[in-house]
Amino acid sequence: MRRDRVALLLLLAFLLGACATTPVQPWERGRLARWDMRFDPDPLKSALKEHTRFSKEGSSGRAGAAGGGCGCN
Amino acid sequence: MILRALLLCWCIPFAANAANVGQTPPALTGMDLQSGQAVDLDALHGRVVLVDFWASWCAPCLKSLPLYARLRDEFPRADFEIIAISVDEDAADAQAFLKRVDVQFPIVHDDGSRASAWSPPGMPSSFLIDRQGLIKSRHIGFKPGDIDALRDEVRTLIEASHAP
Repeated sequence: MRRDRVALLLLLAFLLGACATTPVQPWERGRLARWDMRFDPDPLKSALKEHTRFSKEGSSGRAGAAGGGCGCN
Repeated sequence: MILRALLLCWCIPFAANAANVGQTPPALTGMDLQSGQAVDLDALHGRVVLVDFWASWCAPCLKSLPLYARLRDEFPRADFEIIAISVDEDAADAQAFLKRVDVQFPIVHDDGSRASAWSPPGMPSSFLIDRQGLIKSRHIGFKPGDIDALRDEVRTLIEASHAP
C-alpha cells in the first residue's frame, strides 16, 4: 500500500515535471527580435507580391474574388 | 515527507531572486563600454541612481537612452547618476547602437549574470535607487511621456533624502 502511494507520488512528480518549461526571459529575446525571425520579414515585398497575385489570379478566388485575372486592376 | 519534498521542488522555480521595490539591489559591477572605466553601484551610495536594462534590438530603447542622457544633465552629478546595462548577446551590437545615440553615462555589457540577478520584467526596465541604496521604484517599458514622471520622481528622491 505504502509502496503504491510512493509510486503514485513519483508518477505525479514526473507528470508535473513534464509540464515544466523554461520561458524565454525578456533579456534573452535578442534572436527572437531579429527581422528575419518575423512571420513576415519584409511586409513591403509581401504587399507587392500579393497585389500582383491578386490582380493576375483574382478569378481563381485565391485572395477573395476580384477581377477576372486580366491583370488590369 | 515525500509530499513536502515534492512541494519544495515545485516551488523552487518560483523562488528566483529579483530586484524588488523596497529591497537592496543585487551587486552591480562591470566596465564602461565607452570609457573602459570600472563601474560599481556600491560606489554610488549616497546618490540617486537609475539602473536601466536595455538592448540594441529593443525599439523603445532608441527613445529612452537619449532622454535619459538629457535627464542626467538636469541634475548635479553628485546627486544623480545613471547606469545602463546592455543585455545584447554581442557587445559589438551595443557599441554600434551607441554610435547612433549620444550617451555619456556608464554602459555595462552584461553576460547574462546581471540580468539574471536583477530579473528585469520587460525590455527596457529601469530601477530607481535612492540615496540609502534601496530600490524605490521599477519601470517596465518606455514611452517618451514617461520621462516627466521619472524626472519628478528623481527630484523628489534627491530632495527628500540625504546621504547619512
